[in-house]
Amino acid sequence: MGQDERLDAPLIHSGEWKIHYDYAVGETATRFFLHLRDEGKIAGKKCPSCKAVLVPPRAYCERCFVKTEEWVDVGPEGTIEAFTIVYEPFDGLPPPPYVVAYVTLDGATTAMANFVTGLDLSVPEVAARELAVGKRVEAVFSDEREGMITDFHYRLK
Amino acid sequence: MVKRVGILGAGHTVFAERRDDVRLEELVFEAASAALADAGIVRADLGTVVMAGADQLDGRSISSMMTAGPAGAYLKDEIRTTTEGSYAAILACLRILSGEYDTALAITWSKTSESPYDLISSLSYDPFYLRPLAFNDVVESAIVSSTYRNLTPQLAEAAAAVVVKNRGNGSLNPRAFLRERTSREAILVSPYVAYPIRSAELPRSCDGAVALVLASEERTLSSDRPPVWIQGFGWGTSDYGYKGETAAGLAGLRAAAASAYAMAGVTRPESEIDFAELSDATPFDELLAYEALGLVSQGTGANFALEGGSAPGGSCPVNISGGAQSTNLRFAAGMMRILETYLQLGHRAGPIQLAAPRQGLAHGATSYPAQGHALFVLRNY
Repeated sequence: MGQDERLDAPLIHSGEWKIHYDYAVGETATRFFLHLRDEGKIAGKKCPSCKAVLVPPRAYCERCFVKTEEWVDVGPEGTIEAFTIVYEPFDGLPPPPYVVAYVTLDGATTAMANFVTGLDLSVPEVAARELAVGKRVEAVFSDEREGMITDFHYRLK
Repeated sequence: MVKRVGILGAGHTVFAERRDDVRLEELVFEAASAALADAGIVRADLGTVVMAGADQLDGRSISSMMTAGPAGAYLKDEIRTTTEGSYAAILACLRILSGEYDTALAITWSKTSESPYDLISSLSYDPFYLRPLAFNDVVESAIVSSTYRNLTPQLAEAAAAVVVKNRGNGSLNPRAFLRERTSREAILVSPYVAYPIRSAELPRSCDGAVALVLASEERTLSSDRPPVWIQGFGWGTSDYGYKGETAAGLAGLRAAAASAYAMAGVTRPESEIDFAELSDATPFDELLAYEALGLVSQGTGANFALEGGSAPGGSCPVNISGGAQSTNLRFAAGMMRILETYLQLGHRAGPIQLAAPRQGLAHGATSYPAQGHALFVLRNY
């Protein structure tokens, strides 16, 4: 066919799918979310074998491979394990800046992520020093709760 | 004694920010045919084809339905993994070591110009406890990096040094996508994307595909070219518990290294490994890997980078090819690390050729940051 300068800009055909999912939360996480919404408390489940308190709760302990039965309230205070401060916007994420951190709540074995609020984020290095791994935080509960993980966030002690 | 797998040849596509001149299948064909030509064999000689691809990035479910043909698998045995690209090489090695196949083509691709990568990475997260918050690959990478930062005050300088080194190395590599140097100053004034990761530390992505032709020990020895062996390999996954030091310890990479080193008989990596091609999607990943791989002792990774230990001429040059900082193939980045290691050991690396390398490492890490790791020990003796 010879040279065809139209091929300098090959065609692009766009595609877009809007796919809706209805995720079953399950009885274990439902109890966690309802306890959070109605009592303003965070609970984990304790493994009968290794005694680990899994937060967020799991219906089973993957390590021991047994069902978990016992509920344990944890927190509201805890310790930062890891964090970041997001300064750039991303598709599908909230407008920056914001902080997300993994926190091990007192009485829990595993860390649970959430936003950390109440900090001045204007100077990254200063905010990061405030947020250092090992710092203590407290879970703060929203007044209007809807049974979602966003019903609480962390705040530095 | 377990037999070893050899590499008969390797091939890759042209890399570009967008490869709009080819559809996905044609990109795969470009790499597969280059690898077969480099190995000096034809499609009919292939025993099996192993692919690594991610449907959500490819924008097609069971994308291997369409890529198997151009990968050379038409009416042949084929299988696909959806883990990071270099896992195709692991699966191909296992299939050859099973004794069932004499040769295998391992191939992976990444055409992320077609899809919203960051948004897609958010899909990996648990829909109840994590998705309503704000997670994607970059955010999670930054979270892992924060655990290391706590331990090492000079980490920001070391991260900048890694980017300067890799971009400098890439500027000399004719295969690299980005062939532009950068400077410490340019990095340290760039804004934070997600603390502690700065915008100049996140490399621009490119489209491309990479393929290797692997063969049994007997088949490799019958080739005219001096052999390069995959002497050991391993893979591992880190815990999700996020106890600070555990995250920075890269348990998954330590597990991968333990099995790869045992298989290859490596007992003192700090002196037995001549060079390494490591996952460097962010410079923090590379720094963490120095320690997890035993190339340096615990807590000295940042110093090693700052003192030039991983630079060309250092005791263990790392990413002499420029790494992902210069050729950010995202899903396929790990396979490119194997290709560059292979070329070095075959004395075919061109302007970036090391003097007399004998044994090197190639590392792939899953895009979900610092969780899944594949490690390969390659040698030419």
